[in-house]
Amino acid sequence: MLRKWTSTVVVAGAMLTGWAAANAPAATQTTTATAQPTISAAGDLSVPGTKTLTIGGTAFSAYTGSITLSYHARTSAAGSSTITMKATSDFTATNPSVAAGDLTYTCGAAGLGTPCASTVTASTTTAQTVVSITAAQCTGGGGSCSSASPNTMIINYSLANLPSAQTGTYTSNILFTISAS
Amino acid sequence: MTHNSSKTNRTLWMAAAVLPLLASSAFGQFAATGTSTLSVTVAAEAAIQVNTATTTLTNGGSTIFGANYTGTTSLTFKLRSTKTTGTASITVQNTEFAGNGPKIASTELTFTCTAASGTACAGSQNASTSAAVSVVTFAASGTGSHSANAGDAATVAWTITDKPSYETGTFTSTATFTIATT
Repeated sequence: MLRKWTSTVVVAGAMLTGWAAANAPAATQTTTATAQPTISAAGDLSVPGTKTLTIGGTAFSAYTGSITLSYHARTSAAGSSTITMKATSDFTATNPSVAAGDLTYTCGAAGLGTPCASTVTASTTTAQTVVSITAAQCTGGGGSCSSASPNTMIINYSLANLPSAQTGTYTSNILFTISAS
Repeated sequence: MTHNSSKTNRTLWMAAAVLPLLASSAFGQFAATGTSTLSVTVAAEAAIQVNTATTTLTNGGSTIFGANYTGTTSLTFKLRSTKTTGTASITVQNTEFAGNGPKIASTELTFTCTAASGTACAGSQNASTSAAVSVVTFAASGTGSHSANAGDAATVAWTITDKPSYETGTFTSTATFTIATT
C-alpha cells in the first residue's frame, strides 16, 4: 500500500513537471542592470570622389565647381572639432597649380559649426580649417544637437584659367580630415 | 518545420546584411578622412580686346598733299593653343568708307602690325572689305602658343594715302578684329 502510493506520487510528479515545461506561463522575475556607456567625441565625413571643374561663359573665365561635404561630429563638453582640407597632389608644377595659388575656395553655410570665412587660397602644405565646431555639439537628433544628419556644407572651388596653362586634363587630390575631442 | 525555420532565418539574415549597404549608399562612405579629386580640362582659348575704340587718322595738319593720314589701333589679346597641333591667328576685316573719300576696295587703306608674341604681319598690308587679312599668326609648337597671363599687346598702324580726289569730310570704316585658335 505504501509502495503503491509512493508510486502514484512519483508518476504525478513527473506529469506536473512535464506540463510546466510545455504549457505553463513563464514566471515573472524583475531584476536590474546598469547600462553605462561612455560616449566619446567622434567625427566622420564623406566627400564626392571626383569633381570636374568647368569654365564659365567667357574666354579665360575661371574653372569652377562645388562639392558637398557631409559630416557627423560630436564634441565633448570642453572639446572641439575641426574639418581641414589640403591638396595632396597638384594639377601641374606650373599652371594650373595649387602651389602657385591658382585654386581658391569659399565655404557655404555649415549645418553644424562655423564655415571658413571669405575666399581662401588652397594649400599643398597646410591643412586649412574649413569647419570649426565648438564644445558640446553633435549631429542629428535635435535638442542640443543639429536636427539634420549628416550635416553638410558646400565648398565652392575656383581655379584660375591662365593663358600660360598648357592644354590637357589635370587633377588634384584634396584630402579632408575631421578631428574631434 | 525545421526546414521552414531555417529558410526564415536565412531571409532575415540577408535583410540584415543588405540594410547597412543601402544606408551606406544613401549617405556615402563616411570615415575620418576623405579624398575628393578635382579634375579640370584646359582647352585652347583666345580672346581679344580693342583698346582704341575709335582711331582717328590724321595728317598732322598738313595742307599740302603727300602727308598721309595715319593712326594706330591698340589691341590686347589672350591666347592658348593646343599643344603640338594648335595654331592661332588674329585677322581684321573692314567696312568700306562711305561717300567720295578713300576707298578700301581701291587699296587706299593699308596697315602694318606689331605683336608682343606670335608673328606680326610683314610689311604693309592692304585692308579688305571682302576678306579677313592676317595681323598676327601663331604656328604650332610642342607646348602650344600662349600669351602672357595678363595678355599681350598688338598694334595696327593705319595709313591712307592723301589724294586730291577725296572730297573733304569725315569718313568712317569699322575694323573687325578676330582671334581664333585650335
